[in-house]
Amino acid sequence: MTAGSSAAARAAAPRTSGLRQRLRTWRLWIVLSLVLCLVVVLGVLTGSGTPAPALSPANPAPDGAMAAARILEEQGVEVLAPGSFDDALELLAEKDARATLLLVDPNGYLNEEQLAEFSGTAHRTVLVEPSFTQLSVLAPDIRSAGVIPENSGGALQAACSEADALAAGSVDAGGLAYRGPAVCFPVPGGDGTAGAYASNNDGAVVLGNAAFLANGTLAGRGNAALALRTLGSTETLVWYHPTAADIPAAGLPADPRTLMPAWVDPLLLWLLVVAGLAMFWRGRRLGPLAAEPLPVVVRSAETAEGRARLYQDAKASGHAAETLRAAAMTRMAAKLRLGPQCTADMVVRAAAQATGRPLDDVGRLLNGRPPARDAELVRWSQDLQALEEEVTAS
Amino acid sequence: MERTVPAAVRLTEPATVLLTVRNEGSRSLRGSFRDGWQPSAGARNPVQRLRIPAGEARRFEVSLLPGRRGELRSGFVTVRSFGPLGLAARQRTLQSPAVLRVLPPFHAKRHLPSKLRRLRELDGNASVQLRGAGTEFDSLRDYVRGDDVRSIDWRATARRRDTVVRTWRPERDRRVVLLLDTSRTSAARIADEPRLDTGIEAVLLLAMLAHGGADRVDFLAFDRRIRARVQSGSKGNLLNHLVTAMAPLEAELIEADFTLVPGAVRSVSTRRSLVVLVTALDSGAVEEGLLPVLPQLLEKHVVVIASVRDPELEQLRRQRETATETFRAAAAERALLDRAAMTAQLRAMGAEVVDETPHELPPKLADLYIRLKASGRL
Repeated sequence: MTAGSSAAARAAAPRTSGLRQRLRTWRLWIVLSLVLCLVVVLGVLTGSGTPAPALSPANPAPDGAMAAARILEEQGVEVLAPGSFDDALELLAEKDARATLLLVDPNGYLNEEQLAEFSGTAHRTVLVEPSFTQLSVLAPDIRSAGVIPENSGGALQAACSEADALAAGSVDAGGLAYRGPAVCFPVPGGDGTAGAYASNNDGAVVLGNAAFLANGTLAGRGNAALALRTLGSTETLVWYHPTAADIPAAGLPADPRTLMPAWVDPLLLWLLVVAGLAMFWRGRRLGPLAAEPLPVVVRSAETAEGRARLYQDAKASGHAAETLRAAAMTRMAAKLRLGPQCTADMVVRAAAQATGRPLDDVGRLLNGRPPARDAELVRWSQDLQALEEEVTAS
Repeated sequence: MERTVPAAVRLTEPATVLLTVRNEGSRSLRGSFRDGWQPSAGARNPVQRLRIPAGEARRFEVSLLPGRRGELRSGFVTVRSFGPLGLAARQRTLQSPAVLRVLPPFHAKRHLPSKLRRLRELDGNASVQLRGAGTEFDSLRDYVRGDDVRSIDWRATARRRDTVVRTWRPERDRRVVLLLDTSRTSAARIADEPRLDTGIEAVLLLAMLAHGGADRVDFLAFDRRIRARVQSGSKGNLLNHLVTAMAPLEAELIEADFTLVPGAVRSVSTRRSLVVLVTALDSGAVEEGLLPVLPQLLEKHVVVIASVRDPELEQLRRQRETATETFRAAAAERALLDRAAMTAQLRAMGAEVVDETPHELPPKLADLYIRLKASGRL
């Protein structure tokens, strides 16, 4: 009984330890898959947090601009949001320079050449907090003039003759100040030449503060009036948000390999070959070779064949014929029971008798002149064999 | 790591080697191993996967099908241990010498029952035979009608009241000394078998037959020195002793030293014995080596010279289509004539010669033994 229970315990112990063992062997995989799940979940969560950039017409967040876009659409303005640089150019070309272009590019994705392609394509070009590059290409006579402090009174007064600005009256303070041919909402305390709104005669309008368009601040003061009047002056508004995808099209080298010297390709190929060779070199056999002590292999008939070649090289057909004759006569003598002391003539006579051939023929075959040439030797030896077979058969 | 190798296995029979691998580390071992048997051992699964938990041991079976007679070796076992991802591995070669002795197949065993039966018949015949050469006194028994009156033992009859006859039986306890030549001539392959292996077959058959005939069998293998020796006095199974001694024999590429032979035979037996010399009747080797020492042996012993004949020579002799073939036929004839001359010379000196093809040699040698025994020449 005791023995049985202990046996059962022994049987059970490996089972549990086997499960633990399996868990331990799979531990690494379990941890890896958990980490992978975590990464995926985090990615999904953070990805849903930033669906669209600031001032996007599809962004309902406080820093988005969905409200302005909706209002413009309700007022009968066609708001188009091209996804790429090429689409934007195409849309503008379709509208035949009668549309308004709103370019929001705070990250400066577009370079000078791309910006230059926009010039003259729109009836009006609205830039929001433009950089130096954007200004120098699209509005060369408007220049950046520093930052407007946000707490400088809270509001900026129009203080100019632009109709849009006058309609707005006052806007939220903040953003950037610009100088240009026509400047509105000047910085308080300044000389009046730098303001949050600047425009020139080519139809370029610079809005110094993104807050004019943002959902969260659109309702404040005259922000909405300024934004909507500025953007809604034409039937179509092209609301273009450059993205990182526009960078390669912006003239950056498309293929990094073109930057590399010409010898890189052969070098890579060579490295591939070397890597393959290194695999063969370092890839180890499973243990050393097992040596086989081979036995000597000697063909038994080798000496006879060597002797045959010697005969042939020496053209010793006479010697060969002599050997053949001697062997044949010995065998025939034994077959004809002539005894060990018989002579050649006795063999000839007995053979002729046994086969019924003429005595002369047999005598010539057995005792005649030995053949001199190879062809004769072959014929003669075949005749000899035939005779021997007849004697054996008789 | 431990290995259990069967002590010996007969050629063409499978063997199983047990290999125990113990994992003494603290982590489980996952990987593969290779048992380094030499190729002719015919290992069918030398590479196997292994998975051994820490501190445990596993036993693996490596099955072998030896392709050659002799001592087959495995010097090492290589273990390769994989990492947790199976991408990298470490391997160690552990020295673990093992030897599997592969015994000669003894195909000629099939001839043994018939030859033994003939020997027994001889025995039965001889018990009523007259006294003569090749018989020895067996026992006395009562006369029964039909017994030869000449075999009546008158002295015993005088002692007892009844008529008593002597019975005779074939000589027993004769000495048979088997000498196997392992010199260069035994390396020659005849009919896809080295002459040495054919000689081993013949020697085994003759030894078992002589053993069955109650003779004492000694075996010696020699070239320039004695390579193997089995004494008649040794205990246990004679066949076992013989095959174990023969298993590691290899043909050496040196000339045989026949001057060893008389001394070796003398060391085995001082009595008259049957000396069977399994060698090759190649003219050069025998003329220079054997002929000078043969008279010495013949003085005291009955000498039988057994040799394997090459059936290929017979084929070469018959092909005479072209000049090359004719010359080859002439060369074959010359070799056969030389052999015949050598055989005749040896017979003239008083030795018995058995010159047969590989398949025929063992039974023919056995027949000769039976004949010699029957004629009482042992």
